[in-house]
Amino acid sequence: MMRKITVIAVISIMLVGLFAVLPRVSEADESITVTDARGEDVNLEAPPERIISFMPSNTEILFHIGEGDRVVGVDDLSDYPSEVNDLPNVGDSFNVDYEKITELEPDVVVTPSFNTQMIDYLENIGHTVVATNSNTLEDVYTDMRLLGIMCGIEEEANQMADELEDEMNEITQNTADLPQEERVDVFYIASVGPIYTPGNHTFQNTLIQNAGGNNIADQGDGWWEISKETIVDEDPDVIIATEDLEGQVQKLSEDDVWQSISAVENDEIYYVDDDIFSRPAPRVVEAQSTLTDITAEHLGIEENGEENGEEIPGFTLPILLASVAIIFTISIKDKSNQKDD
Amino acid sequence: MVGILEVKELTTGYGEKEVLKNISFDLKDGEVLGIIGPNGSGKSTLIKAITGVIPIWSGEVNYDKKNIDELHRRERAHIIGVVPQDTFINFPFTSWEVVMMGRNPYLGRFENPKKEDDLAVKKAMEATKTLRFKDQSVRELSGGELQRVVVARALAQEPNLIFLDEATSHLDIGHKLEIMDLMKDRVKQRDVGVLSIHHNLNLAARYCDKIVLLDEGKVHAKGSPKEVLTRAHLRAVYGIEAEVDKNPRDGSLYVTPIKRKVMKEDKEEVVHVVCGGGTGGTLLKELVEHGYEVTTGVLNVMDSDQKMADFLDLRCVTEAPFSSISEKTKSENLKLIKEADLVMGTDFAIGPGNLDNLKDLLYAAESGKKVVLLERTGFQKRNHVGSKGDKIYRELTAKSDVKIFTGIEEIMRKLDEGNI
Amino acid sequence: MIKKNTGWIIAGLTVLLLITAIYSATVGTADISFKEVVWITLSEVPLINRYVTAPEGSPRTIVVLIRLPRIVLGIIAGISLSVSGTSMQGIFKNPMASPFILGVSAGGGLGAAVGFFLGVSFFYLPLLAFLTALGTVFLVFALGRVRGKTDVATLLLAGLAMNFLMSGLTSYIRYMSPPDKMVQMQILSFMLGNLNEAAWNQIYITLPIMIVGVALVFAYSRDLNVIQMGEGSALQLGVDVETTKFVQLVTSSLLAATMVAFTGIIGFVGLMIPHGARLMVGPEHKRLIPTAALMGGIFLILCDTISRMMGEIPVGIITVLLGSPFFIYLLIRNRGDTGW
Repeated sequence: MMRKITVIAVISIMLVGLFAVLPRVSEADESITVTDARGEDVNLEAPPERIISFMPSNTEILFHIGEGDRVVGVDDLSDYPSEVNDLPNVGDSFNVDYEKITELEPDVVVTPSFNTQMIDYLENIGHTVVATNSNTLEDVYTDMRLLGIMCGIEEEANQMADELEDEMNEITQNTADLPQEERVDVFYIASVGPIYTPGNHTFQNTLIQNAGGNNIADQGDGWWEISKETIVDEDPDVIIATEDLEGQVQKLSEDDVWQSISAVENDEIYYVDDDIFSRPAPRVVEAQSTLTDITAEHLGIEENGEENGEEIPGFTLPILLASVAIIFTISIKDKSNQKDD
Repeated sequence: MVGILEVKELTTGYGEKEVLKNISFDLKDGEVLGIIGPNGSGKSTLIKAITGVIPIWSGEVNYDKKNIDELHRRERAHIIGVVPQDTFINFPFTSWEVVMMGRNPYLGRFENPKKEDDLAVKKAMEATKTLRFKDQSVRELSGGELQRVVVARALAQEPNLIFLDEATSHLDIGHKLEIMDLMKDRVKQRDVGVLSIHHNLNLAARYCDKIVLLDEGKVHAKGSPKEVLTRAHLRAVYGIEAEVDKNPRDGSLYVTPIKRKVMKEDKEEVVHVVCGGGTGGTLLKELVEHGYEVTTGVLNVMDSDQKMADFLDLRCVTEAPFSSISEKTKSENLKLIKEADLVMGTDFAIGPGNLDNLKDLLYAAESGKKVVLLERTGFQKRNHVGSKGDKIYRELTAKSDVKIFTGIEEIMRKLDEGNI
Repeated sequence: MIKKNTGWIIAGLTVLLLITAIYSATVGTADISFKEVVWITLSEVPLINRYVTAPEGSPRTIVVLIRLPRIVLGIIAGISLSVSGTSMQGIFKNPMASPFILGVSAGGGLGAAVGFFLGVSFFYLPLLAFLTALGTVFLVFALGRVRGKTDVATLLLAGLAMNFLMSGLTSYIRYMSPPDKMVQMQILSFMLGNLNEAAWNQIYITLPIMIVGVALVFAYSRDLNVIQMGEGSALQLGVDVETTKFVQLVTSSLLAATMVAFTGIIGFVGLMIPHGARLMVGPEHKRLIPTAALMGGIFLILCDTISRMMGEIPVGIITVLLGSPFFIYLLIRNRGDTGW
């Protein structure tokens, strides 16, 4: 009996000791190196517990891959998913609230790579920075994989990126490779007075191309101011404008010159959600399918809504799950906060 | 010890333009040297060249045998203090601070004013009666008060020579004399030598021991006031006729300008005025002062208009006193009318003796001359020859080139505007 | 009477500057107590730090790496701009002159705009802005020098012309830059001036320039006084007018250009502070320069503190909004023309 007790005791002690040792071992194993968009190798001791996301697309990706609960602060423009509205705000690219960032004691700050001024300053005051590109459609997948590695869920993130890519390919399978002469002329309005439009090498241009459209502004590189003359000359079949411009575009289209444009004449002006159409984030699927639906009518292609119908639940499921998880954690957090009070 | 400022063959100017040529004169401590000359003769330029504000092209300026141009600015400021004509100060420095700037040449870059500097400033302000507003902003001072502060600044500089660059020209007569008396006092104590640019010839005559008369950048005359202020010099340089008299009280000279010579650059129009009995005097004077060449006639000798014409040195057709106009004088008058660009008639009284003057005006109008009539008094009141006069007057006023005015100012204004 | 008080005024302003600085160090988005700020600050001072234990972690980072450099750079900028403005107003004998009158701001703005447009790294941007600012000033000097002399009226016009030219080019770059990138906002942010990204390495550069610049302006302060009597009179009072103008204009442009390079164009400080200082101690530059320097430092940290309280509004907006009413007050007060 005594012996039995001794054995149990020794085993228990060893187990306890093992458990005490184990986390330390696994912690050491968790160290992570991410090569970010700058080409910088960023070393993290462990997957970051506290992330500040400085770009709406980064925020959306982090929540999409199910790591939203690690986000402790976001920039002014991040507004999706809705729970980020409850997170502390750390300013925008021009007025960064460095104090707030520091006070939140983040393990890592995820920033856009072009804001070198901010990255320099953050590193200077001792923060770890992971930069993303957030420009092109490809960046959606790249950023997702990159942030996955950062959060220590490389495999899962890669899988989600692949799924997203497949889904995008499916939506655009009938339209992406159309020959030039079959394409629909599309004009995308991003601002009115002056009229700015996305040209070649823009996110929107890729979406238009993939949807079987021909961006009438692709002779210019990046964003540029297009003249009335060019618009009339190119005579777009479809005009896409962001929702906030609806009033202004309607007023514009009353103009005689605008009346001569096919899209205006045939009432082919569509208003879209600027956030979805401009952020290289997972919601790009919605943007792409909206665009493809618009062009489909002109191309005489059956709407591929059925196919999408199958895909969308498959895609939204992880979001749903993630949301539930987040709501759950937030409610726990709230409770613990109440206790503190 | 008496220092001497020697200016030798000084030539200078601005840019390419030569302003002063070969100027030479001396100035000893204990004397007042006046520089006079018309506007643009180079008076202020002379001070600028001697004090190093503008470079000297050739010639030299020596003080105590030392070339002043080779001295450091600060040393030069120990020798010469300048009172300019105007001082504009944008910021509210106190009077004391402005006078203390006179001590600048004695203070090192990081040195603060010492007791002796305070004392020099105080003495200078006492001498100029400015001590009572020493803490007041110079922007609150009147022009005269500010100028006295600037004089105090020059005194605080304790220079051997003080240059006054028309320093009193903006002051009223009381302050002019006060400042000049102060300078004279300093000079008498053998404290300083004074070089003073004067606009006012009488002030120069009264205060200066020696005078240099500049004309178009050259020395026209120099010497004692008696030698320089002569009718001939004044005529040649200023173009004026002047009386130069001795002040019976202190023996100084005083200059009374009498009339102004008609100058080449004046207007070329010739105006003939038909007048008489004192009706034309003011008009003649006004026309001359506005630069017109004026002729007049026919006037009786001893008529007050004739006296004015004589005083103004005008070409004038005269008739013997109290005589009617003769054929000869009438033809002379018509000749002048023909030469004139414009003919004027005043509201003189018309009697049998001078009815021809009215006829001459009609002649002028008929021969195509512009005729201006001055009518302060209506024709009927001054017509003493009845219908004969009426007829000529009606014919005259019916001409299109005849204009009637009721005042001299109006005529002069229209004339200068070119509206006649 | 003013004269005797100057020492007290300067001592008072120094104390006020310290108090403002300490107060400013306690203000920010992060909640750090006054005591913590003081302890953290003291723990950074050599010798004293042996006896002080201060909290580590984020409060320390916030105080030492964010707030303190910002406050110190604010003081340096305030001093540099005020002294530069005082010097410019003295040389131009005009109370409306500012540090930017010779095109420093427009030139620096153009350099920064080009830098933002080309995506020059954050490290080289101040250098580019500094070089274009000084380049513009030298162009203005080249235009403003007549027969080996600097004519202030010509200089003023040359500065005006270069200001227009450089601003025009900057507007062109702004117009040409696409709306999706940050360039437009970066340029705007530079034009409004900002202390938000102050860092210690900026202080290591700006502090020595400020010290040398202020010392030079101060060394020629009496010459600046005498020049107020007119340049001719100043020459006759033993002042080397050309050297004085050269030293003052070059030094004050250098001070302004340095600050523009690191903080952008913080307007109004250099125009307004000299007026305020003149009201307190009079126009005599030996007293005016230190007074303006201290007032500039106080004013700018105060404005920056407000900017932080209002959620990182560019400090240039605050200086103008706070400065203009004061300026209008001065204008009304001085309409009787008793002097600035």
